[in-house]
Amino acid sequence: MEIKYINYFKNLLGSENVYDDKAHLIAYCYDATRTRYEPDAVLFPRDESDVSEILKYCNEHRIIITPRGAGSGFTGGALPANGGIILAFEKHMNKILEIDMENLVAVVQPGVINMHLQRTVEAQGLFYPPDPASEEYSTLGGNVSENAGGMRAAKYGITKDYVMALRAVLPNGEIIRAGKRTIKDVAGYNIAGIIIASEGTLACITEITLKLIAKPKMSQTAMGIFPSVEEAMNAVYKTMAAGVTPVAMEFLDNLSINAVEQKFNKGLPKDAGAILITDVDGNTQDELTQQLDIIEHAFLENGCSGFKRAGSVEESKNLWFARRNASQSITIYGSKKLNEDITVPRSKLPALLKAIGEVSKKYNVTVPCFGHTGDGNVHTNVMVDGSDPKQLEIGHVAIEEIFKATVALGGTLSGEHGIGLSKAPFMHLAFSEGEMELFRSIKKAFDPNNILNPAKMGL
Amino acid sequence: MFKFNVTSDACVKCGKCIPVCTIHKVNRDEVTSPRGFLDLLGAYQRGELELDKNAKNIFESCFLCTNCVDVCPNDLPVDMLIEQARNDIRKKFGLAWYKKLAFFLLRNRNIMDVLARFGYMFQTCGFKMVEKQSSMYLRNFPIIKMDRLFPSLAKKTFLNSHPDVIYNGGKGKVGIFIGCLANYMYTDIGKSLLEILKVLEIDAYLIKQQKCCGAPQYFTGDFDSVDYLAKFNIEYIEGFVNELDAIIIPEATCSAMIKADYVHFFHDQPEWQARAKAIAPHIFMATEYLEKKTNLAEILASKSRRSETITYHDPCHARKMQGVWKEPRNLLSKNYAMIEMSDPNRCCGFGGVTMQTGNYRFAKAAGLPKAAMIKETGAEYVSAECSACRMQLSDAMHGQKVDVVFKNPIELIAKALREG
Repeated sequence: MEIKYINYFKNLLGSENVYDDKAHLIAYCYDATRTRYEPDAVLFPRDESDVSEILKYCNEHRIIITPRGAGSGFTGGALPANGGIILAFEKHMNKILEIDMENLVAVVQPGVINMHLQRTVEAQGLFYPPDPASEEYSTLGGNVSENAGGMRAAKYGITKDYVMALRAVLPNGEIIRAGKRTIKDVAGYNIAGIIIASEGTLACITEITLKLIAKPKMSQTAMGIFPSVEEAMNAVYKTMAAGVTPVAMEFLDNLSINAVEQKFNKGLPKDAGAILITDVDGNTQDELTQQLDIIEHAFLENGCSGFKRAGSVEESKNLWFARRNASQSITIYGSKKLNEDITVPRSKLPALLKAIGEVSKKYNVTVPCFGHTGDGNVHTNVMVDGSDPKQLEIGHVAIEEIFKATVALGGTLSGEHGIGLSKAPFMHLAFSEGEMELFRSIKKAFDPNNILNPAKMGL
Repeated sequence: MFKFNVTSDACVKCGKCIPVCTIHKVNRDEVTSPRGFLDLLGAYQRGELELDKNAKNIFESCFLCTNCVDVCPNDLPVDMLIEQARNDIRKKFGLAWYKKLAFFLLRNRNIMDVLARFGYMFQTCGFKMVEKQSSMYLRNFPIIKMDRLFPSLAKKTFLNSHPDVIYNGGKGKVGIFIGCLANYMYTDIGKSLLEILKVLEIDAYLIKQQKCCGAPQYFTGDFDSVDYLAKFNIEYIEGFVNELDAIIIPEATCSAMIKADYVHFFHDQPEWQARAKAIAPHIFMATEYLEKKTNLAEILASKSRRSETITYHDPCHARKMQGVWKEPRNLLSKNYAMIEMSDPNRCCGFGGVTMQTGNYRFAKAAGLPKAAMIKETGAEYVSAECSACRMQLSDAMHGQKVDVVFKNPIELIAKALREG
């Protein structure tokens, strides 16, 4: 990066917040996709006005900017694919600004870690439900930008359901407010709605107002064993239709069960076609029991061969163990995991799993699946030998076919990871040329010079 | 030696290690985070990153608290890689004169003993003593920051104050590896341990020729010294270990070093690794041994409840490296009221010799929240079985004007026995 730019930023932010040494360029070149693109500089803005000044200057000088939270994304949203500046929010803009107990609202800066907010509000009896698997380390700014989901989505929804308002900086440096601290707000376009899940391509979020709810007093876990995936999937949507909305309804297929078993030897049913793990919550034990009774009934009617309720926190943890450790266990099937988070309407789950089975057979690749069946979100993992380019290629072809099947079933390319770089080539499968053109027009309206996180989302 | 790029490539970059990292809490920057360290070390091995002054500062910023190792889904040994990188740094940049001097003295205990004696006589010239905490702070000295609290030297070292064997009735026999800080500075720990063994009627064998365990040198990357000290201590301990029930150490760091890090350090010297592994099962932290293998808990239960309150801090080298955290609490709670601080497992921020000198600003910043959470408990004592934590926490509390006194659990237990 030209020295005059660096000097400008040092003057603006102080030299302790501007870096272009090799170590910083390396440390900010990756995220959880493990793809590498070195930026030209790393900036640590101290507040909204810093962000505004930086964007204004970059817009004038056509310098590319990529905002970054924790760098834990799975699709490359925070990767500086075309170089330029990494705008890192982790250093300064990481404070919870307000917890409004009267309106049940939290106001946070984008660098706050999800779990930090959860713990803080839970200490006051409140609840922030979105719980992506990265909750311990991902930031809320990243969560909003990718519209992160989580295990509790079946009952409580995802990040977008909790964003009430945003403050953000447009590429020209303009500070905008979108949304209100009100339940109802119908004035103007829903700009916050457009910025959510925009992966940092439209504006830099500088402040987030989130809805909170009262924390249910108790929860209970149960597990059901099924002879086949289809039966388990049927049980899922039958349960939902029976009038219970579990907090979570997660599944592991036979391959995933066996992977966990091989790695940890937990006494899981190795012959089972699938297991379902579910959580219900409420304020009294009766409420929990009632829900579990209905679930048990729906499970048993759909081929469930064993139903177990956890009697203690310890037992709950045990039941959840398999699901929590599935992702790392399936590496026994191949060094490289082509991991997708396709999502279909719940009723289409049996058809989707069947289609995945066929793709697996056709290309002779192992595809363990697990995930959030309660909301139709399946983590599909095409396992290949990462050192074999031929296998990698076959893997990618298999993925494309799975995407096609998903879209044909009315589903989406991504339930929670976003598009970023990894899924950009598949956008044409899910969107028409006219729809893609509309996306591009929106991007241009916000960012006419294309300085903000370009090359993402296949635009 | 490890190949840095192998471990670096094994990192899946999930980011789980970052929020638990002690230095990242202080300096929120990916370059000073476990994921960043690993990636930079891979780049260093591939020749993409030069080991320059900047890289040196980065790799010296790690506290080696091992929080990251604890949460890593792939159990990557970040601490061991950092230690090895520091060995490369030492080879390239050399050691500062004061570290060389300190490590020389730790290798040569007889000279250290004489110097400690002189030091004791003259320390009041330069330092103001704080008797209650066996500590002192500087009156005036050019290099070191004023108002910083240091441990004061004892009049006579622990090992030179007692005979080789103290017969207490032969109900058992344990060796005592006292560690340097408790030998030269906090001598009440050893005295208290002897009092406890007397009550238990267990004979005490003072391991008098012990040399420094090598932890300070390991954390600073002086692998030549570690190699020398570890081999000396292993060979020395092998000479008598089978005649004793156990070797007990009232210090988390020395204990973790001898029990766990010797095995790690010798990962590419199989013969020595086997010898380190063979002595490891005989090594115990003092509270661990006393709680599990003696009837101390029972005896304490027969003594009166006391009015003083204690909050317990978990040393990284006790809880994370040796799984010892219930034992001291169980013994202390027999006589004292225990109040848990909000995050007892959070690293105190001691971080080793380099952190306490060149990077003192980081140590100070990491100590702040710890001092605050200790204060919040309102306890009269803060306790941890680690004299490095003691140095750091005493200084942090001194800086924050927190009036809580630090005691090793062994001292508090002896007090409860003594005062009935």
